[in-house]
Amino acid sequence: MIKTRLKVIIALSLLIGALLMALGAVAGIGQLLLYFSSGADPATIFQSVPPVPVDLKDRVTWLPDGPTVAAGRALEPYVRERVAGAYLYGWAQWGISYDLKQPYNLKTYFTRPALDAVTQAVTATVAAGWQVRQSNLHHTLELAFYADDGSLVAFTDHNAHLVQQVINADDSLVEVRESTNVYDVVMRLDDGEWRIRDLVRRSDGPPLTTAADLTTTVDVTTSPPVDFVQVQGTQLVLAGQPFTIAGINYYPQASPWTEFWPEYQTGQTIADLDLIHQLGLNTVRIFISYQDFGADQVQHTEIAKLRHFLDQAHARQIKVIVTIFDHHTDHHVSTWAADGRHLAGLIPRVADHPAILAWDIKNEPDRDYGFNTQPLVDRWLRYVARTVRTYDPHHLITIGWSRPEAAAGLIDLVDFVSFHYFEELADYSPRLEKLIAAADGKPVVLQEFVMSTWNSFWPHGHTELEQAHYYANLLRQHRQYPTAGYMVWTLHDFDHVPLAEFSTPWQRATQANMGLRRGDGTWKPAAAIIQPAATLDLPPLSPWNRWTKPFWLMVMTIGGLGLIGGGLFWHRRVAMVR
Amino acid sequence: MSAAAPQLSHTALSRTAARHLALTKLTRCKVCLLLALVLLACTPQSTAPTIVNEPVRALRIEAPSLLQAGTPLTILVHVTPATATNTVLLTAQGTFGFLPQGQQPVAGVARFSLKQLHTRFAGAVQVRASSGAIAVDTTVVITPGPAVDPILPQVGPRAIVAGGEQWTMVVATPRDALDNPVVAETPVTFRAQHPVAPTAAPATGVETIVVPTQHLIAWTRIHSRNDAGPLRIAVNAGFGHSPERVVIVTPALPVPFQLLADKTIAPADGRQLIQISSSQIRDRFGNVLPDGTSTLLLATMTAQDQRALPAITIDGRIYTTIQAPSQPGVMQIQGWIAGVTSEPLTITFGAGPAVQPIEVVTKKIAEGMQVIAGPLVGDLGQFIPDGADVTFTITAPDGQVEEVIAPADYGYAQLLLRRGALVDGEYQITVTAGTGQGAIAFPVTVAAWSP
Repeated sequence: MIKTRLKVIIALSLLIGALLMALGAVAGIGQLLLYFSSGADPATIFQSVPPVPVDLKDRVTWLPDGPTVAAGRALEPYVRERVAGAYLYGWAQWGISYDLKQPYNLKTYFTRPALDAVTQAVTATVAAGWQVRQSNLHHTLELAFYADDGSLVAFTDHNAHLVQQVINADDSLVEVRESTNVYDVVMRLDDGEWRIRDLVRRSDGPPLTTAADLTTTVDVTTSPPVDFVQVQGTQLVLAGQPFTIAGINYYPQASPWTEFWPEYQTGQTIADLDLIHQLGLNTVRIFISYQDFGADQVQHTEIAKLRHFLDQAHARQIKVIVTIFDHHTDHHVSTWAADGRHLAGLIPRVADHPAILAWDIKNEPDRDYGFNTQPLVDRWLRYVARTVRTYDPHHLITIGWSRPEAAAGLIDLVDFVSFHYFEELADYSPRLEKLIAAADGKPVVLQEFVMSTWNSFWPHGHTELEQAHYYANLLRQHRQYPTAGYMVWTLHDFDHVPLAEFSTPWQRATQANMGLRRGDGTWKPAAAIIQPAATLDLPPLSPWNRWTKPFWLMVMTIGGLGLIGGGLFWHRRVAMVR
Repeated sequence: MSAAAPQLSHTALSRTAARHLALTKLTRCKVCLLLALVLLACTPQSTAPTIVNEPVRALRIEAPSLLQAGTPLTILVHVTPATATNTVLLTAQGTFGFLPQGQQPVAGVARFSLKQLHTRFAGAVQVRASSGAIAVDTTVVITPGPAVDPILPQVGPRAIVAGGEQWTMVVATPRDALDNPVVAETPVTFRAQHPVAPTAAPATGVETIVVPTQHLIAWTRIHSRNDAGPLRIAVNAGFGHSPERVVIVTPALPVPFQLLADKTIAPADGRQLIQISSSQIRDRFGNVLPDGTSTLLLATMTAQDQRALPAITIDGRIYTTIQAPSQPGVMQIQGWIAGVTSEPLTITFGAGPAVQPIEVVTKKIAEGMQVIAGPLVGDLGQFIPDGADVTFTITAPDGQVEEVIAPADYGYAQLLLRRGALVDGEYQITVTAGTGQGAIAFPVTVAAWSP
């Protein structure tokens, strides 16, 4: 009877399996037929390059024409645009050739003798086993000559702002250089296209202040408004009074990470800022997703959302640390110009807002070292910090490093030092102590610390009480040092975690349960700990606490069952032997 | 074979034993080696001095500040401390490219060689030496050599008008032997041989302009003078010469000119050709308009009768012909060149071709009625030209009028009214050829037709 039932079960399983395979095969064949029956997008036939780069106006500044031009033919606006466009394309093509490690399509934008020279430069560098990456960020041009027959222009590029990365064959030497250069340039009209004919580097360009690069009006007042947070020694001050950050990193409960801005809800913001205010916190840290805000074309709609958030925070006397370039991890030199346009579209539009405490120019940039190299990331941070400072001279700048040791790296770049800590409590004090010593007298902020309360059959789960104890212990150590504050991760347990952020189930579950507030809207014990004046004395955890977690219960159950089974097996075997 | 067997066996045994012995020795050696390694591992570390790679604390670049393009260059980077052996990276940001090199210092000096290939491009080269966080910069200016052949000037426009109001622009980039534009402020000589009158010495048309280079180029404008013809241009700088460039100096706008005709009175016979020409057309400086200059002749008889005749000049003159009209009248012809008009030329076309009354007779034949007009004679009593139009106006018995044109043939024109098309009644026929005219009327009875 049992055997018959087993046969039926096996037969049914095989049948269901076969059905599923058949369905899969049909679906696969269908997809294949669909693929071959649908043609390519006709638009892809034309790999056309726009006549001038789309970012031409952002990357080229024309100074008034030189005195020698005045007596001759004026450069027509259309021709001026084409000349500048071809010049930009020429530099870009040079960079592409370096990337591809061979002269690539240079003749489109160069003509002899410059064509021969650039070709040789690329070939010689590659042959010597070096890899160079090169990008041109900005050019400041002054027309010196325009031929009467319209076939030749000469101009001076007073500020060819270049960024170059050089890497040797075994990646042991990496240098990233940002430079400004003065070039004399002659371009010729050949077959209806402007091409670079002569190029001579005349000297170094102006210092890297970036002011010459910027096309947006910036605030040039010398003193910051009184309601902006400032640095005074190792402390932050607001309106002359010490300001110690007691803050929280923020995403809404239902739309964390990349869903925050696309699904922005004004009501949710108001409710959450009220909660943060009720917790007694004075600072919130938010993240500006590079792509969601429009990348190099920052969208007005997103700025409106950001301003709403800042307005609401200001109404509750909450300061905001705005973390930019979130989810932007590729720092190849060819992306820097777009990054500059992102800043130009974002920073000046909110630079006057008193709710902003600081610009955090990158979240955990040290995690990008692996696939970008440290020199590249560090140089990029310098570029971003300098550009932010130029657009917004009054708000503070910081970088949210993932470890205290990483935060000791670019102290000169920031107004206050920020770091994250997710590791052993026992190591916290010495590591913080070292960072404070390295901070060169600048304020130090613990910008993220967290313990997830996902406690399941998976190992390393923690209870809410453990979370509270971890926070209390960490803050107890933190209070022993003259820091400028702390910020916990995060307000809510999230309803879900976007798949793009974390892919494995255990990662997603861990990340979803890091808040101070449960999904049902009730507070976890840790919420009482992170308030500025909270007492950190908690009743000790039970010594059996660890063993009451689901994981250990499961291990003990399996172990017990194993022991019992083993005992029975051993007993039966002994009996048989006898 | 059999005698040799024991010996062979003995030898094999010996080899086996030897091999065994060797293996045993080898195993022993391995054991000894292993023991030695273990002993070595247990031995305290040697206190013998070792080379310590100290970090680089300072760098200093030793390089010339000026260098002739194409000269090999050695750059020394002095490393402090001299015992440091970390690789020094040297990058040279020059006109064309970013030439990196890595070297390990020896006795505190890293030596970098830039070959001729790397120093051939003129310009300011920013040399940076770096090791870890330590970096130091210096600038080496690579200067170009003197200008050499060839200098390839660009000239435009290639045709200008005489009179000094227009110019052509000459742009030159003198280059050294390595194709670098020469150093700024290098004097460049532009020489132009202007066209001169045939009797004048060529030297009177030579113009020399010296311009220093700026922004990699030297340029000048060469204005036309009063004489038209080829303007030859050459450029020199240093040791460099250019090929000749030629610009055409064309005559300016012509002064008003005259039209001429081989006859100004002619019969309006619709056939005669009248030769039209012009005086030699020149600009205000006496330059004859070049061959092929487009002109337009406008011939007007009445407001409705206008004819446009495009023509070109040859040797500065217009040559064309005009056909006499069929109707008498006065024709006015005017020439147009670039907005300049000639004086009007008047040609009178008198009556013609026939001027005397025309005799018209009919002849009944089997096919129908033949109408013969003639003789058709002109003012001298001569036959009008063969082929001249003779108009027969036929008025049928029912009042219908029809015009038929027949060509004159040796002083006569004839018309056949086919029998099948005739109807009973009286026909009237009028014949005209120029001012000459004749008429006839005749009855037709189709039923009683007999030739």
